[in-house]
Amino acid sequence: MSDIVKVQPERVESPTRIDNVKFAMWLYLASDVVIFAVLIATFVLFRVNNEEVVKEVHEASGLFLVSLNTFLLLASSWAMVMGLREIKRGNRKGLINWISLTALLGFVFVALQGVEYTILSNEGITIYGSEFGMRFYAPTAFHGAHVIAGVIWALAVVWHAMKGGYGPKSYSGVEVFGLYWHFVDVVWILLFTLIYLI
Amino acid sequence: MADELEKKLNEAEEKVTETKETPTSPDAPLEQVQGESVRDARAMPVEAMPNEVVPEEVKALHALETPEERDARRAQEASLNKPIEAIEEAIESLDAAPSQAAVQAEIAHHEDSPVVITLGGRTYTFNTNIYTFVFAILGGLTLLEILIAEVMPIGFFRTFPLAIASLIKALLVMAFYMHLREDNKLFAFAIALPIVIASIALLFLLAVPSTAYPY
Repeated sequence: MSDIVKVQPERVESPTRIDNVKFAMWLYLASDVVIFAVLIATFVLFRVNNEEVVKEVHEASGLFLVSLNTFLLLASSWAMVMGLREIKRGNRKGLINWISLTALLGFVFVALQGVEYTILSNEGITIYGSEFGMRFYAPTAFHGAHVIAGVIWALAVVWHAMKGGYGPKSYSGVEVFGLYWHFVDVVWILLFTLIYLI
Repeated sequence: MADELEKKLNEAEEKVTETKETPTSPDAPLEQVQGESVRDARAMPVEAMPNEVVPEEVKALHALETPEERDARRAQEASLNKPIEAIEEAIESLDAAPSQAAVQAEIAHHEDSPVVITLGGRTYTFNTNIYTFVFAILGGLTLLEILIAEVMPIGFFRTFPLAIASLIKALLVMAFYMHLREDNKLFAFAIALPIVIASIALLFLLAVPSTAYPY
């Protein structure tokens, strides 16, 4: 009895709808750029005028953990785009595997960010404990919130795919999630260099 | 005199427009109507107009022109058309924006082809998909950034290469993973506009001294 599988005809999305949905996503990302730009500008201004403070923080925190996190997020972006490639070829199982990997890497990223925050707070670098604190935690935590939202979204994509959603002619849901996830990756690429390296 | 001459010239242009076969069918594509009548007539110099539609006064005036004066007049006529041509080009570029089907076909072509790079006249072929190739470059650039940050002291020679590497990485993700390379240019414009404005605003903020102004 449980062997009965409902086979639904694949939905074909109209090109105009795909264009509109993607454009809406790009406009959302443009608005996000403005918020991140304010946070990044605040940090850059502090960094230019307080070189020694930032140098001390770099020495206290080290680069290993955040470098590992950067590689994880880059790998998650690669997994995301590979998942999209698979569903375009009609391989739903491939999509599920790659997007699950994306979610896992995103989850590990957030967990390691939590570890990093704990280390920094033990060093006395807290939100209110130093001038550096708020300027550091605001952009990185706001980015972390984006990653958490992205992980939830990735799991929703996986759930939808497991129920038989998406196909080679109806993958705009995956594509739009991909735009969001890659944007989060691009923001981290800039934050990593600005906050931890320069 | 000049006004009268211009009036006659306009009448002559209208005659040319009328004499051309303008499609009258309501189903005729707009570009066909434009291409075969109004636009051609506007772009046509007076000398190229059919002899019978150009008034005798205009012919007499043009016969008195020196080559320099004729070139100057043509340049002036051409400059008057420029704003309209710019609008037409903008409309044409929007019409020419690729459909999603064409975009997806191009992306699929890139996805399935091996990566071929030509450097210094030599061609290198990598039997991997473009996404894995870009991921390898991103990883390599990140390692290079970490190396620079560990080795170089704080200053220009640390900041500059790090900023360049970071920008290259961001552009690679946007061009290849977010498909801005193939997709509608309107998407690229939507994201580039706030980035440019924010960058300019940051430069203004950096110009403000950290301490109070001395007055």
